[in-house]
Amino acid sequence: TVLSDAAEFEVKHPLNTKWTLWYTKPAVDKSESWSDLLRPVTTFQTVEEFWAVFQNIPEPHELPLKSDYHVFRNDVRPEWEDEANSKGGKWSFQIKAKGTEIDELWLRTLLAVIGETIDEDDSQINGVVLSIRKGGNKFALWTKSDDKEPLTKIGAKFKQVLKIEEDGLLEFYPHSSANDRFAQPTIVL
Amino acid sequence: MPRYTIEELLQLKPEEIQPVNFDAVEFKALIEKVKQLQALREEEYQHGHGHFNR
Ligand SMILES: [Zn+2]
Ligand SMILES: [Zn+2]
Repeated sequence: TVLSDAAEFEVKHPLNTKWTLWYTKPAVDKSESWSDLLRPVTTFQTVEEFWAVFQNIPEPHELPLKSDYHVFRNDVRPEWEDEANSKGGKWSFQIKAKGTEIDELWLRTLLAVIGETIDEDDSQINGVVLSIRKGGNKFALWTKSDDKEPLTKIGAKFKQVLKIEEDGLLEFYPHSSANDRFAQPTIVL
Repeated sequence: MPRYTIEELLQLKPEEIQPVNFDAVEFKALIEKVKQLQALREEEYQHGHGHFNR
């Protein structure tokens, strides 16, 4: 009936948590501090709100160099100093894909993260980051801990999402080594 | 806990662009401005380089 169609239309699909989209704007003059550059853009907590946001923001291939998109759970800031991140780390992948191929992989990553299928135990993911860089774009999955066992499972899933078949391309770095220029990954998949 | 596969989420994607609760026009304008400034810098840099090489 018309009524139940209308009711179905109104139903929103809740996500497991609220998420915040952040954007890092590239610096264009020296007076800009980090707090001027990293800003929350908006939040969403249903599938419908996610799509609305996604449809209204530039796609990765449209972003200027040195931009980052960050999508983080609740009020976690996309910085390793945040309490929720301080004992964790990130799965990092430098992507060779260009143009709309990055757009597609970024979308798949976002959907796997907000749909909670990348972490079956729902205990590790704090957020996900896309960095647009001249030397190669980067995807990073930020985790709450640096425990090898759950992270290895998540890393394997992340590779499926990114459609990676080769070995040794995904690297895990604990945030405790974030200041070390010569830091080596603690897990490689 | 709500959980959705990538395929399920794709099926829930609306055909038409939906309104949002933030100023998306302003956000896009900001990004365009940065791109223009970066392009300008790049052009100036190339120009400066030309002189050094002469
Ligand atoms: Zn496009
Ligand atoms: Zn000249």
